[in-house]
Parts: sequence; structure tokens; C-alpha cells
Amino acid sequence: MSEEVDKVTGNKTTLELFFITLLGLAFGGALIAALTYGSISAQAPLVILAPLLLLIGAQINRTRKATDAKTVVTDFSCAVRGKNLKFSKAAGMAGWIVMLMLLILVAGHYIAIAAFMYILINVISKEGKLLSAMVSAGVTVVLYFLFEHGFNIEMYRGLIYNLLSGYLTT
Amino acid sequence: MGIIEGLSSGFLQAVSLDVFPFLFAGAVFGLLIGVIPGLSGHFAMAMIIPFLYSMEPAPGIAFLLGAHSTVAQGGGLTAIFFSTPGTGQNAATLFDGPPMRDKGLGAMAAGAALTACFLGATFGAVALALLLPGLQRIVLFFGPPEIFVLALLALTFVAVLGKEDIIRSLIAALAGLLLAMIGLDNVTNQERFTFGLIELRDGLELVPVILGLFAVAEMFELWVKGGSLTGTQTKILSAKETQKQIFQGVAEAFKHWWLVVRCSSIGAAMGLIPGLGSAPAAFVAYGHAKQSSKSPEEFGKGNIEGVIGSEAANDAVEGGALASTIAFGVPGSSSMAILLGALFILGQETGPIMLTQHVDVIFVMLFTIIIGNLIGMIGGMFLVNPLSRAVGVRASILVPVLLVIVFTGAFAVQRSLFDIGVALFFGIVGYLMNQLGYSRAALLIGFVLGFTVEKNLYLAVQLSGTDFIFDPIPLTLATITLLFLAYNVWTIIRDRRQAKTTRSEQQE
Repeated sequence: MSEEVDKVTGNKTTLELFFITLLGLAFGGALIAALTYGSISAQAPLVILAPLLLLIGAQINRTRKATDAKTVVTDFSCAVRGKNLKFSKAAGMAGWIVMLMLLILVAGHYIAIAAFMYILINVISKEGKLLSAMVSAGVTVVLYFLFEHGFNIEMYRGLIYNLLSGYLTT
Repeated sequence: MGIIEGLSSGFLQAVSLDVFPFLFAGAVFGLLIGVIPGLSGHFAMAMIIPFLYSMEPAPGIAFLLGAHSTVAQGGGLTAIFFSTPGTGQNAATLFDGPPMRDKGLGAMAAGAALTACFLGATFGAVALALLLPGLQRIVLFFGPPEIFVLALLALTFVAVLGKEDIIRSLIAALAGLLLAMIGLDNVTNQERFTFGLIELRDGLELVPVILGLFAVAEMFELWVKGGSLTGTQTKILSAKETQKQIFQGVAEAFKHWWLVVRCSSIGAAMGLIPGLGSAPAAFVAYGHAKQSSKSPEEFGKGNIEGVIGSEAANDAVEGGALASTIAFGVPGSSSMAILLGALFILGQETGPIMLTQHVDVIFVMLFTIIIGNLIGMIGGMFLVNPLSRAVGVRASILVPVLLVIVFTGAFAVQRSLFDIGVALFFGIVGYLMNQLGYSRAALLIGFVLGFTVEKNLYLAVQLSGTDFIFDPIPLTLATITLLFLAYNVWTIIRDRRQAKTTRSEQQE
């Protein structure tokens, strides 16, 4: 298993193939969208998209030549099964940030950031409970006083707070 | 009022007990704002505006510009130590600042950056003073055709930054240009690439994009890699060693005085042109520093010239931007627009009246920029030691804390949750780009200049037809652009041939 993991983490061609193909699809979609705009609005995007799609095509071709279908399938299946540690860690962090955003939406900025820090430091990274609690609480308090009182910026209070205050808005 | 009389009066006012405390408070405030990712110079100025209603002109101007002038210095420190530019204008510092930190030379980079900022700002201020008499004639030559070609020239610096893989760099630059098209079309008011989202109608905000591309991506990298920001360099420098490095950095900035002068000139000249801003100036100066260096291959790997060049330019911009604001009331940036409003609150009028009757006020501004940057430089030195120690903190603690600060900063710009999402999206994109060798700087340059290029091209064609390119200034600038591109293509071909020859020699 470890041999499989090492092999995958050392190879970025598959990752690039997926990345550049995704870019190609996104910009292909942008091209279709640009064709629906009026001539003046479409002018600049089309001038940019034409060479961009050509370059992406060239890069896909270049990347495809550097690997073979079997390697791509193996790498992809390793990443999906969580055997590519690097990929799993990065994807996990992205997932936690999405959770942070959802938590901000529901519980408000300060509760969300404190919980986010505590979970990452204590639960994920296995640091001590006291250290995790102190860092999470300390940073949250500093940010609260800095933004709310120092800069007079009210951070988002969350749906629950808004609901309890008698109105519902994001 | 004459220039000499205005100069002496301006200086005496700036150092008087009525003004200096406000200048000092503003400078310290600006430095702290600069350290916080996401909060920029115009934020610092906007915070100060409410106080101006009860202030006299000189202290008000000193308070306001003092804060604005030191923001870039604070932003440079976080760019070097945390790979997180405090403001957009410090993005170019990311190329060589963090690699220097990784080599254990973070304090030297910080010393050089702080000094380059001070020298650049002083150069910009002196340039403004010298330009004052003939200013009106110079800036009026720059209309949409000239700005369009100038923006194109800045874009060609992508060729310098992305020499290692030109296809990947061009993809990044063109993608950046396209990202700048998101939102309502400036001319027709048609929505482009907004997917029906109201949040995208005004386009993507620069700050969350930069924070995502550089800061969040760096945090992903550190989280995956583990350890600390200092990487393999585990030894934390003592306070004495840090101090020694800071002064070595200061000495390096003075040693590269000619580079400072050249990059400051680029900054001051680009600051004069409304709408270009300081981020492109820093990138252009970085490209120039790399181009003119004796060791260009070391750029991006921790070359102090890269830090000095970009930091000198982004502060010299202020002198130029101030010039067009004072002379014509044409603010070159959002910060200058706030300054214009502040001058109105303080009962000051820009244009010929200020240039002839209130020269002392102009010199108060100039001395505020110079003294403010000096305060920022000294104050910044005190921040280096704690910041350089913080980079030794384990990733398991540092990453969550920095991410929270970055996302709070991203939210604070427009008080929008959407911006946190933008920072996350560009964090993932930036991480992948970094892993796969796509130039994030090229994408940023494209994004920053995209709007300027499109708007000015449209206006230029409307004003003079497609023949605008044959007007004297656009033609000169276009020729420089083509020569610059040709030179770079030639060096790429030459380097490849050399590498091929070396390889075949080694095989033999």
C-alpha cells in the first residue's frame, strides 16, 4: 500500500491532466456564454478565449503525452479511495473551510471561527485540549475587540442570532 | 505662495507639536492595519475620515496620509513572514520574500523591504515636488490610448515572470484577463459570466482573490507538508541575530540604491497614470529588477533585489498618484479618491488654487509621506522579531489561526460571506497552480490589468478609431512593448539552445 501511495504522490501529471481539463471545460462554457452576448460585450472575452482555449488544448495534449491511460486510472482511483495522503489532506482542509462557511452562516462569525480553530488544532492535529482552547479563545477575543470595537466592523452574527433578534436575513 | 516658502512652511508644520503627534498616530495605525491581511490603505483612510470634521487641515492631512503611507510597510512584513500579503500592492514581494525566510534570512528581507519602502516613498515625494511646475502638461498627454498601451506593456512582463514555462504562464495570464471581465460590462451594462449571482455583478473583489491565490494556497501547502513556515530551517534566530539581519537588510537596500532609484521611477511614473494602481507597478518593477539583475536565475528563490525592487515601487506610486490628485483632482486610486474627499472636508481645493496658493499644504503631504514612512520603517523593525518567531510555530496551530485571520479580513472588505467563498475557491486554484507550475503572478497581473485594458481600448477606439496606435506616445510605448517581447523570446530561445548544447556535451 505504501508503495502505491508514494507512486501517486510523486506523480503530478494526472493531477495536471484533471486540472487543465477542468479549466478547458470551464472556459469552453465561458465561450458558449460569450457567444450569447451582444457584439460589444462579447468582443474582449472572445479575443481572450480564442488563444486561451488553443493553449489549453496544447497543454492537454502535452500532458497526455507525458502519461498513459493506465497511470491516470490508477492515480485517480488512489485519490478517490483516500490513498493519496497529500490529496486527502488538502481536500480535507477544503472541506473544513466549507464547514467553516456554513457554520458562519448559521452560528455567526465568532462562534464559527472559535469552533473551526479548536477542531483543527485539537481534533485533527491532536494538540492538547488546554492549548487548543486557549489559542481558539484568545484569537477569537482579539479579533472581536479589533474588528468590533477597534475598526467598528460588525461581523456576521448568523441565522440563529438574527432569528432570535426577530428577523431573518443573511 | 512660492515653492521655497511653501517647502519651509510645510516642513515646519509637519514637525510642529500640533501636527506631528497625529502623523505619528496615523503612521502606527497604518502599520498595524497593513499587518492584517485584507485591510488596505483605503480602509485605514476611511477609518480616519470621521475624525477629520473637527480637525485643522495640516493635522488632518498628516493623520490621514500618515496612516496611508505605512500600510504597505506592514503588508510587506506579513508577505515575507507568512506568505500572506497584507495588501494587494505587496503581492510581488511574495516571489522572493518567503524564499528568503525559508533560507533563514526573513529579518534581512524585512529590513530591506522596510528601507526600500521608505526610500521609494521619499523618491516619489521628491519626484512630485520636482514635477509640480510642469505637471499639468505631462499628465494631460495620457488619455485612453496611452493608458491602454501602457497596460499592455505591464502585461508583457508576464513573459519575464513566466520564462520557465511560457504556455502555462500565458494560460494563467489570459485566465486572469478573463476573470477581470466577470460582472457588468462597463459599456453596455450587460452581465458577463455572473451565473445570475448578484454578488458577481460588480466583478470579483481584488482582496479575496489575492488572499486566496497566495495566503490560503500557502496555508494549504503548509497544512499538507506539516512542520512550520520556516520548513527545514528549525533554528529560531535570537533577538540579537534578528537585529543584525535587519540592519544587514537596511544596508542591502542602500547598497542597491541604483535599483531603488530605477524601481521608484517606475512606481512614480505609473502612479501618475490614473487607474493603474500600485500592484501593477510593483510587478513591473519586479520584472525590471529580474531583467536587469546579474543573477536573474536566483529570482523567485530568495533574491533580495526582488524584494527591494517591488517594495520601492509600491511606495513610490503614492508620490505619482498624489500628483494627479492634487493637480487635476483626478484620483489615481480608491485611496486617492478618499484623500480628495478628505481634502474637501478639510476645506481644501485641489487644482490650480492649491498649486498656487496652498503650496504649503502640498509640502505637508510630502513631508507626511516621508516622515510617516520613516516612522513605519522604525516601527516595523520592532515587529520583525515577534513575527520572525511566530513563523516557527507548528503548522497545526499556525494554519488554523492564519486562516481565520485571512477569512475575517476577506469578510471585512465588503462584509460579504461570498468573499470568504471567493478566497477559498482561489485558495484551491492557487494551491493547484503552485503544485503544477502555473504562474499565480501572471494570473494576478492579468486580473489587475484586465479591466483597464478593456475599458481604455474601447475608449481609444471610440475616440480615435484603430489608428490611435500611430499617435506618438502609443507608438513609442508599443515599440518598447514589442522590443521587450522580442528580447524575451530571443533569451528563451538562447537559453534553450544553451541548455541543449550543455546536455549534448555532457552526453559526449
